[in-house]
Amino acid sequence: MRNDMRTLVEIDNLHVHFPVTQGIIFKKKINEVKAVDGVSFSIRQGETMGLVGESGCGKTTTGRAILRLLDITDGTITFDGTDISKLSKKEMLPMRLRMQMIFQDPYASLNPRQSVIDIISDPLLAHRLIDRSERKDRVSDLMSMVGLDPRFMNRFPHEFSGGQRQRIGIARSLALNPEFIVCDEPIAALDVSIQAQIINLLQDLQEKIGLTYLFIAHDLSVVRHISDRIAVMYLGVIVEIAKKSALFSNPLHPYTKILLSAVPKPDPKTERQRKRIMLKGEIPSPLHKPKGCPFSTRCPYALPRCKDELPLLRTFDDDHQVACHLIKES
Amino acid sequence: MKEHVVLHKNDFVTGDSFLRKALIRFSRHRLAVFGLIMLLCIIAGSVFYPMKNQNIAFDLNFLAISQKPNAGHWLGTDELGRDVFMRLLLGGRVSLSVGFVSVIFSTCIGILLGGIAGYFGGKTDMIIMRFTDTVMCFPFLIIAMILVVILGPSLWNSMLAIAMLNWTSTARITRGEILYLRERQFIEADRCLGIRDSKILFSHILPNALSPIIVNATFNIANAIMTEASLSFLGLGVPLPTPSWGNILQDSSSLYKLQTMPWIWIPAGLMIALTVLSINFIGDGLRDALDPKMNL
Repeated sequence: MRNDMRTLVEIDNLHVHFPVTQGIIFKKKINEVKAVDGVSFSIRQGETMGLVGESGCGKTTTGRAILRLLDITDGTITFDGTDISKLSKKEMLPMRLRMQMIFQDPYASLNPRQSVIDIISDPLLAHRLIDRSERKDRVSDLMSMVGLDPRFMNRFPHEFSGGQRQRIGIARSLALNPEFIVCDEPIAALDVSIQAQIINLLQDLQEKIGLTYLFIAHDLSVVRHISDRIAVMYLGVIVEIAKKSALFSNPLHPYTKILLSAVPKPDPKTERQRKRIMLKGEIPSPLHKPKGCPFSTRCPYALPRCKDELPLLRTFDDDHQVACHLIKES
Repeated sequence: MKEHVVLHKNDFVTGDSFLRKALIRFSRHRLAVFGLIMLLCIIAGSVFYPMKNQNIAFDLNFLAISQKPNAGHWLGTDELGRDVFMRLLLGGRVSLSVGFVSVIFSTCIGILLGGIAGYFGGKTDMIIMRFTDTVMCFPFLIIAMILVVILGPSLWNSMLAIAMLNWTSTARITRGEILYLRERQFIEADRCLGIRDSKILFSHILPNALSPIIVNATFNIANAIMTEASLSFLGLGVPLPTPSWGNILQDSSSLYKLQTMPWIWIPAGLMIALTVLSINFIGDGLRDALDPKMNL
């Protein structure tokens, strides 16, 4: 990986809070869910940034907030030099051409009443990128690009398998020719054999058209396969960002260590020797977060300081960022 | 690894449009086709048959009072000697047009208001739905009467009154469907792709919400025909002597007629029942035909 690459997306101190209200007519805010609570990272052009964490840690919310599908409470998102965090819906339209999303569930992300040709060509027509007459050709191209037979363009989503549907979803995202794609667990709902196909397709497309990915997943082996750098999230904050090799060979944050120790090894001999650090307790509710380090309630190494003081992301050698009081500068 | 597509007998790989498939699905729905034929017969009968010789439905004929069905008068005559069959078919014109026109109006109003409320949510939803609740709370017939009294009794005004009160159920159903649909991932995908709100609402969400709306519309047609009957009975619908199925029924509500002259009211009741039934069948067929998931 080259470090000199241009930064495409920069997220700075992103907060997404959902209010918890009471009352029907006069809504009173009684609390808020801090789904994303101060997340900062940057994605360089052409790289794949993996975002991992257990369910409920805010990784999907982060992805959706970057595309402005959710209201941002605070923070900035800079896309290729433009701050998009405060753009209006209309001002956001031209940016939508450049950043897209691939959704998790291929069964829910395609309109059951639309044929494939309509699904793929709708964004093109909405942005007036093509005439109606060019529709067929463009859709054929996109379908063959993702490995679908263009003869099936008049079919409806329910006539396809899960993997094929995900390909339709990918073709739809590619229709606008974006530079940056948020992949929100694009393979979590698929069979293992199909998962590999979709991953390979995503990698091929990245090579061919130079896409930049934010790849959200909870499956560490998949993230390890596809990502250049990986960010680990816990309870709305990023606890560690590192290059793939550094993260897997030398995890610094206790949470990352525990997470990695939970990955089973394929070889039974080494698997027997694998030392698993068991995590006690459950992930705290985002409604009542710990005051200091969010991981302090479950961390086996927690110090009194961890309970009071929120650790910030600090950079260590070679692009390795960790948010933990225990890690001393080398 | 290559993914395989199961090809079955009636598979259209290319070519066939959605409309053609829908037509094929509809034609395979036997009850719907039966309903369509029945409805077309009723419409054709009431439009074309009374074109000539309409007078026998209006002219008093004291030589043929209260006759049982016979060769000259297929459904007999009423106590004024008017031909019941001709009155029935003429009444069909009124009842069917009230049914269809008012339901087309009320469904449009309902879809528009319910759609906007459901899609935009929040305060918009609150205001529109409370307004809907208010209209729902009105005693239907009394408000319809007041409207007709203000506007004056005529065919168009009773249609209007019925339409203005009948849209609430459609609005509620549409809103409910849209509340559920707008959170679906494919709608989020649309937003992400930058598709306009109006396009998302009307061409992506509404088609998915159509089945309950269609079924509800068929019930509403039945309702409208009955409401017109009540209004006619109160002298606020179609003014006499123009017949409608409703005022024929109401006209024979005396015990004497009910017991001794069944040929007057049985056909009118049957026609309402048949019309409503065939419209329901058609609605059922339409719902299946418009659903791409239904097999051919």
